[in-house]
Amino acid sequence: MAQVIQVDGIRLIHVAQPGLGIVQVEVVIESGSMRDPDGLEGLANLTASMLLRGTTTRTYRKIMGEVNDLGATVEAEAQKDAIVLAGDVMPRYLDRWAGIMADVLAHPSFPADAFGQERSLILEDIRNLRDDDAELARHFFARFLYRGHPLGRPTMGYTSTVAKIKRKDCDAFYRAHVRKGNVVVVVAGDLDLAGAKALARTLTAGIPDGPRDVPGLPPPPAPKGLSVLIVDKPDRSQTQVAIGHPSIAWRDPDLFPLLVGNTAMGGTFTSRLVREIREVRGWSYGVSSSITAGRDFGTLVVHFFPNTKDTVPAIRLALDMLRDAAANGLPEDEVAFARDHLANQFPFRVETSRKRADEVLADLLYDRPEGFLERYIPSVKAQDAAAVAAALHRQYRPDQAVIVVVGTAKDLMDDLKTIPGVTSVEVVPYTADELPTP
Amino acid sequence: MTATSARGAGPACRVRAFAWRCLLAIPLVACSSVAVVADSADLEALARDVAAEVPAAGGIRMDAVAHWGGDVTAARYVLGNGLALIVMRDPSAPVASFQTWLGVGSRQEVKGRTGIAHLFEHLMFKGTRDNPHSVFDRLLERAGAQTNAATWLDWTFYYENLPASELELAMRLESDRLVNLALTQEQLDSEREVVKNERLYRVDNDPDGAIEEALFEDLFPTHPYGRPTLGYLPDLDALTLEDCLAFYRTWYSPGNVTLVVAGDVDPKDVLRLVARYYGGLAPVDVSRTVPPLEAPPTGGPKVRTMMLPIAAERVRMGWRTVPAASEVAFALDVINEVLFATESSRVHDRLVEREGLASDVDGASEPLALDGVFVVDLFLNEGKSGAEAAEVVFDELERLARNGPSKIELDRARNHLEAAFLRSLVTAGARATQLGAYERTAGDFRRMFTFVDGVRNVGASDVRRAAGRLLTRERAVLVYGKPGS
Repeated sequence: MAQVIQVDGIRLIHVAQPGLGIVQVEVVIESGSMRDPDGLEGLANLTASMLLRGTTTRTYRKIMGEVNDLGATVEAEAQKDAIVLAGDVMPRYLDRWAGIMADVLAHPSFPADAFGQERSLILEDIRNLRDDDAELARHFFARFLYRGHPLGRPTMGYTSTVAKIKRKDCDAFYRAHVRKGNVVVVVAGDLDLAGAKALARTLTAGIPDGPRDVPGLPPPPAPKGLSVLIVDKPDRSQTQVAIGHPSIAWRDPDLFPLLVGNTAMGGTFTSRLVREIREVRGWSYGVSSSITAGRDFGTLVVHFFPNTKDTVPAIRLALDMLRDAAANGLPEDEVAFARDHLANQFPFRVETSRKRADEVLADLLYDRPEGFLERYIPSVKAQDAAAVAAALHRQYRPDQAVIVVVGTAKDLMDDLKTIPGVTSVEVVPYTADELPTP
Repeated sequence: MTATSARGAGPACRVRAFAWRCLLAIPLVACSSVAVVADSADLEALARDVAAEVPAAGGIRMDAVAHWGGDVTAARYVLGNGLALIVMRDPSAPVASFQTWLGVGSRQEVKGRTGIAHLFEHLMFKGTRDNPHSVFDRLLERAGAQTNAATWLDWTFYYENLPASELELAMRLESDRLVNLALTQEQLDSEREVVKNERLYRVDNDPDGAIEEALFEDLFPTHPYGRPTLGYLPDLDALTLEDCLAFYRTWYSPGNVTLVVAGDVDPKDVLRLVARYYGGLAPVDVSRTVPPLEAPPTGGPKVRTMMLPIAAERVRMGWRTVPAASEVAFALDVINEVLFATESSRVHDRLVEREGLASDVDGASEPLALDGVFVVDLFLNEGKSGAEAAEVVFDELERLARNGPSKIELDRARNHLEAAFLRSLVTAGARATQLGAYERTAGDFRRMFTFVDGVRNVGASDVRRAAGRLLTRERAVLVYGKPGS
């Protein structure tokens, strides 16, 4: 049973799983890379990494040495909307681990001698991203779709901006955003409620009081036409393709019919896109259509990775199938299948205490409707072909979308321009730091 | 070699390609000691009862049992036709994992026919007379199941993670396709393209996959362990429908199967279902001959350099070690902890923190049935030398072989391995996978439950001996990936 409790101005989420042998903890500070100042993109990320680089009494080597001695873990990372300090520990070492984490949260020193090295490692991470085509596609898809919007800025930052960040910027970012009202502590696993409360108090004892402060996002961009970005990488025999557009918020009344419809389109091995692109034509090993809902809005993305020669036919087919679904909906048997699949798969959403706790965390962070989880199964089961067709008609916009293709531009350029509805084709080298302004 | 290959990267909401190497990078340790006999009498009686209920099963015997923690028991049963079943009950969530582990992997492939074990794994989803193509997936997906499969050197396995109440559906469909698969040339041709696309994805357009394939080729120049599970493209093109059907007839039969069920199930119900759906399947003789291993490389390090589209140099170092059932495997896991696994490990500390040569370091001791492989990955900073970093690895291995680990390092390794084990068992699917993998590599699922004691018993001298005997410069195989197409 998940519980949400206020403890000394902190929101605590607790789910017990006795016998697990591990306690899993997240300290979520609701301020992430979307709050990076212009010109200092990457600041939240570098601030998060620097948390483990030293406190007023511990060096990085001491922090990690103490944590590793316990067999425990700790990671600090920035996301779009939060900095998260997370880790796990066996119950017998919980107190020692909590003491180290409390020190990290209360007394980060952002030490000058470790700052240059941490910044260099992040710059290496940015460069290493270029080695992985699937990662490149994800990265450039977000940047292209949300160009000019806070969501379009990479959490890791750009090489040019990360190089400009000073340690005092990290210190100032942390002090400006870390306050009790912005903190959620998540405790899952082998610890009872009293223990979880005590743990939350210990972890956050040094965090100053202050109200929650989470600004809303500007509205999403509305793609005009069908814009293509080729991320040009030499000598590719395969491409990575991402097609998508902004989509819905958790509170949108279209959420459940769209979820059901999209599952029928590309959410299982027998869904339409998978059948046509993979099973029938053998064009791509992986095919999916997924929707990530958000607090203010979300994102729809269709992803596959065909041979270079099959790329344009696969994109044409995918677009046609999306258009057809938007215009005509889906037959009742496909809707019923997706509905049953989602409802029957629900136990896996809450299979472990950690998963249960993360669902409750999503309720808090993304302002999901009251009782979202409790109403999930009936809400899914309530959908029929008419509701799904109406939602797909409103929410699928394959002709106001972006297409990102990681591949070799000279092999793709001419054919991509022939795709019906395409209004522009841009090319950037895969090593590009920032996208050009349109 | 591409670590393993699942049927599908599939939709984003599904389990992505199963990364076996990642799983085994977290070595396995048990959290409590094991009483291997305990209440086996009850389980034996249970087997007898079900055997009496279902005479077609040809007798059922309980032949191994292990206890874990409080009241969790895992037991293995064997049917008259040779099919084995491991059941582990865990009522923490109303779900179960049903897995079918075949004792065939790419190690049974012959030269020129690489990739058939994995391609065949894909073909197993193509339908039977009673359940034509897509019926299997549709019935299971509709019931809320996640289905997939993976192939590796020693094994192939198929899984359904599903609501516990749907176990019978999975057994009905799995037992049907175990013996009744109906394949067509058209299905082979289409799936061959999918598998070739998978190879492009995992090897030909993935620098790490390309380096891994090269490393295994050089570790095992003649043995099938050295050939890619995904297969070489010309071999994939040459495979015929008859090759596939012959492979099926040879390897897919009850005596070559271990079923694993973990989750919120009653062992007696499971046994009844297995007896009903599998008990009547005819036994088939399966070859137990294993291809002999060639001697490990000596006189090294043996070095290969590949030019790849990468920003900075990377190095993968490998050594042949010991089979999964060997006691020495525990010491190798401890070595990995001391040198590579955490931020506090010696090589990580030197290369990343002190000398600034690398952005990341990783290590893994990977147990196989016939042998083992110890792998180290070095991700260099831009412009830094892989050869220089590899020298640091050799230097630290030699120092460890000479002086051994400190007590603090040993304690840290034991704690870290124990916690990693616990983390790796949080879901029913993960538990079933560990049980199946132990059965197929170490030859006995109970090995999983003795691991914690195995690691606790590793002393400094064991570490020195294993490092000095196995992880030497002379036995090393290195693949350098350098920037440049």
